[in-house]
Amino acid sequence: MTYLPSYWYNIVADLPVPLPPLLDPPEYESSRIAQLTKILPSRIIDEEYTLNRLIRIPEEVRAVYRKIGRPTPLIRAEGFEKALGVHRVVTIYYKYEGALLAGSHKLNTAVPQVYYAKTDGASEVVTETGAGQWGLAVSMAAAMLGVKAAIFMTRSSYLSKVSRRIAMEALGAKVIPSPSRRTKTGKNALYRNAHHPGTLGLAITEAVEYVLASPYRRYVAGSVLESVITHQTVIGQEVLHQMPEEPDYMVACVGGGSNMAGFTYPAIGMKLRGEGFEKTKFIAAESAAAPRLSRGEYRYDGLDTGLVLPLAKMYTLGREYVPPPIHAAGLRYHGASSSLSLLRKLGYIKAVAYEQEEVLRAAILFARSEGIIPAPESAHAIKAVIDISHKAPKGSVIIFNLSGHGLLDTDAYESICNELVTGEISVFND
Amino acid sequence: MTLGYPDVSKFSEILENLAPYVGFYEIGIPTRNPKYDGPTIRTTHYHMVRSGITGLEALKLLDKIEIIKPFTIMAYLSEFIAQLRLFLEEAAAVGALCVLFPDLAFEYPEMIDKYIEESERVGLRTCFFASSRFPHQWLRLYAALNPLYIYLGLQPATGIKLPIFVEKNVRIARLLIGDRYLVVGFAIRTPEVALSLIKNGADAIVIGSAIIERIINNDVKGAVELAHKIHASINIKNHPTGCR
Repeated sequence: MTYLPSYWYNIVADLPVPLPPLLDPPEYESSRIAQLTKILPSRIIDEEYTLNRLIRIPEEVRAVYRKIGRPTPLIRAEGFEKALGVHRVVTIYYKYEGALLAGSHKLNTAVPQVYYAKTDGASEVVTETGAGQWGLAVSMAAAMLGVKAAIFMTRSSYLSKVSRRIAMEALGAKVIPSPSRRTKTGKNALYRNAHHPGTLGLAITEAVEYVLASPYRRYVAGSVLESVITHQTVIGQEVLHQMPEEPDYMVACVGGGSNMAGFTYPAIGMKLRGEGFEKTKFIAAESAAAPRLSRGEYRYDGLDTGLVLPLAKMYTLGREYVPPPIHAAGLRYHGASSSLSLLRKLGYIKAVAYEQEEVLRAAILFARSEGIIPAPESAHAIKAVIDISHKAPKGSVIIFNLSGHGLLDTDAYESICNELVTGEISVFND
Repeated sequence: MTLGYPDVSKFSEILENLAPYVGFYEIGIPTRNPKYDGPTIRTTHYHMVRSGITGLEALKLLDKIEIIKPFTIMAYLSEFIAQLRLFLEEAAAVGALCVLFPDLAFEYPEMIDKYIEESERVGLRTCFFASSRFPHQWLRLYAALNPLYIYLGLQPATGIKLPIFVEKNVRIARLLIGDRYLVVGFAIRTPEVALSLIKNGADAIVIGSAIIERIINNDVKGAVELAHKIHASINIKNHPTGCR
C-alpha cells in the first residue's frame, strides 16, 4: 500500500446546508477577523475561505508526509475481536495514526501549517497543547522545517505529561505552562486562581497574544478551524483505499474535531453526494469531562477563552468552561469544529461520552489483545467500539481511528495497572 | 450604502453624486447587530441606530428620498423574521428590486421557500448571498431559482481584506451558477482588483467600505472619484436592471 493522497478534502463544498460564518464578537470595536492576518499563516486563511472541494497538497508537504510515515496502516483487530468475544461475529479494523513519527495524527496538519508559516517568513510558530500530542507534532514539524516553536501547555498536563514535555524540549521547542505570566490573559487567570489547571481555550488565547507581540511569529491551530481539519482528511482518504469492505460504523474520538473529521469526512462526503456509505453510522466518542457534542449547546461562542479569535457556531460547553483535569487532556476543549457541529446537528454524526475509568479499562483490554498501548484520547473510541460490537448485528464491520499511541502517557495507566495487578479491579466492567 | 448615513440630506446628495458611476445601489437597513459587516460599515449602522433610524420604520425613509438608479435592500433576516411579509411589502412599496438577506442561507436555510414565496407575492425578485465557503449544491440551487443576482461575499466580512485567492473563488462560483448574474463584494478597493474580478467571471462588483470610509472622513469628492475610477476600469455587462 503506497497510496498517498494528492489533495485534502474540503467537506464544506458538500455540506447539506451552508456553514455559518465566523463572526466578530459584537461587543468589541476592533475586528478579530481582520486580526487573523497577523495570527495565522496566509495559506491557512486562504484554505479556510475556499470554494474548492479539493485542495492540492504542496509537494514539499507530501514529501514530509512520506518521511513521517504516511500512509499509515489499516489493521484488522482480530486479537481485540477475540478478547471481546465477537470474533467471526463482528469485524473490527483500526486505522493506526500512532504509527506516525510523533505518535499521533497531529503531524498531518502540523507539517503544512509550519510549512506555510515558514513560507510567510515566520521564524517561530506558536501554539497551545493539552496532553502534548499537538505540541509534540508542532515541535517535530518545526525541527524538520527549521523554525523555532513555542508551546503553551495546559498546566495540569505540563505537570503530568512530563515525557511529552521533555520530548518537545529535546526537539528545541520552548514549553510554557498555561496559564503563564507571559501574557495578560495568563496573569488574569492566575490572579483569579493561583492553582488554575489551565484549559485549551485559555492556552489558545495566550498563544495568540504571544504571536501578536511579534511579526515574525505565526499561530498554528491544532484543531477546530476548517482548514486544519481538512488537512486531516489524508486519514480518511487512505481508509477509502485500504478498507476491504464498506463499514457499518466509523468511530473516532472528538476533542476539537480534527481527528473525527479527518477520519470520517471523505466517507461522509461520499454519503452526502450519494456515492456510498448509505448504511454507515458515524460515531463520535468524547470525554464525559467535556461532552460538548453530547451535552453542549449549538450556538455562537468564542474559539478561545479570551476572545482574541472570532466566534464560531458550534456545539459548546461555554468558552469559560474548565473541565476537570483528565488524562485525555486533548479532549478538554470546550467546543467542536463548525462543520462537525453542523453534521451532528443534522444527524449525520452521533455522539457518546464516557467516563475516564471505563475508557482506561477499554484501553487496557485493547493493549493486551493488540499489543498497542492507545493514547487516552483514542481509548474513548475503543470504548465506543466495545459497546457497539456487543450490540451490532452479526456480520457488522466497524472501523475506528486509533489516533495515537500512549507510550508517552504511562501516567494515565499507572493507577489502573496497579489496581489490576493487585486484583482490585478486572479489565471488564462487570 | 447604509440607509440615511450620515444624515438623510447628505445621504440623498451622495447617492446623486455617485449615480453616474453606479449600476444599482444596495441600501442597508441600519441594525444594532450588523453581524457580517466589518468595522467601517458597523460604524455607519451604529450611527444611524443612534439617530433612531432602524427596523421597519427605516424603510419608510426611502419614500422621502429620490433615488435615480435602481436599488436593492440589504437587511438581516434575524431582525425581521417575525415581520418578513410586512418587510417585503414595504420594500416593494418603496421601489426596491429585491431584498438581500445575507443570513438567510446560514441561519434560516429552511426559510428559503418562504422568502421566495413572499417576495414573488409582492412583486419583488429574489437575490441570494453566498460566502467563500459555501456548498456547491446550494450555489446550483440558487442558480436554478433564477434570481435577480447571486452575491458572492469574497471575504469573511465587509471591508476586511484577508489573503484569500478571491479570483479563484469567483471562477468556481461562475462554473457552478452558469450564466446567472454574479455580483461580488467585500473589501474591493481599487480599479485593478475590480477589473480582475470581472475578468474572472463576475458580472458586477459592490463597493461599500471603500466609499463609506471616505464619506466618514467627509471626503465625498474622494468617494465619487473612486466610484468613477472603478466604473471606468470595468465594462459593466448587461445588468439585469437594465442599467449600466
